[in-house]
Amino acid sequence: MLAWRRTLLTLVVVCTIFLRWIPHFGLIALLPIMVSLMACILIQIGLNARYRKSAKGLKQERIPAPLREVAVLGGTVIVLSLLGVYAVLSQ
Amino acid sequence: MNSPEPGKAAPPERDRLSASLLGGGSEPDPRFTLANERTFLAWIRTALAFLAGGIAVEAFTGEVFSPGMRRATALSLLILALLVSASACLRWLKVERAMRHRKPLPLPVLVPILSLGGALVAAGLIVFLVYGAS
Repeated sequence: MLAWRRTLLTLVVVCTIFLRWIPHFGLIALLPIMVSLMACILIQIGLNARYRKSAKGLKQERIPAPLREVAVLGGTVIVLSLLGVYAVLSQ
Repeated sequence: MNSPEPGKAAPPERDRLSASLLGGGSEPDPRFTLANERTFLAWIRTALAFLAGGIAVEAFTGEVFSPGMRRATALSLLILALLVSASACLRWLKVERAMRHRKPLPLPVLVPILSLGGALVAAGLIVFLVYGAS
């Protein structure tokens, strides 16, 4: 859970750095910020449930693989990178 | 797979999405699943660091680099972030599948991507600092 929280914190920091793009790229720079904040909220909502499932799974010696969480987080970073590349190339 | 103790309910089966993406096989030791998850998160944080670097170069180095140099450095860092995050997702899936089928773990392609990419960006910046500024 701590590893997830550290990752979410890093994502929030990246969001705030994107704010520095607003003077250069205009309000379109808000798009990556909204994408990453939405991902943070979705992951945070699932985090407590995931912690309880993991604790239960350790007792049962079987933990469900976090497929959705991995897809959301990985997908978010990929989309943010693509948005960044597009913004730099279109300047 | 671990059979349930007598009198206790069997652990829940995987949902359809997990079953189709992870394939068959048996459930690994939960500690390995958690370790794989933590490794994935570490790679994602590395990708986010590159992403932050690319954004910062584009935003803050207008007076330090020429427009071409700034664009090239920002693009390199953003593309590295893209490659590392995509590779991290694929690596997580491959390792989960390998654990379920008791196969050898896949070779880490991320390490050469990260090392080479980081070295190239650093080399480009060194060349610029030595020759470009003069």
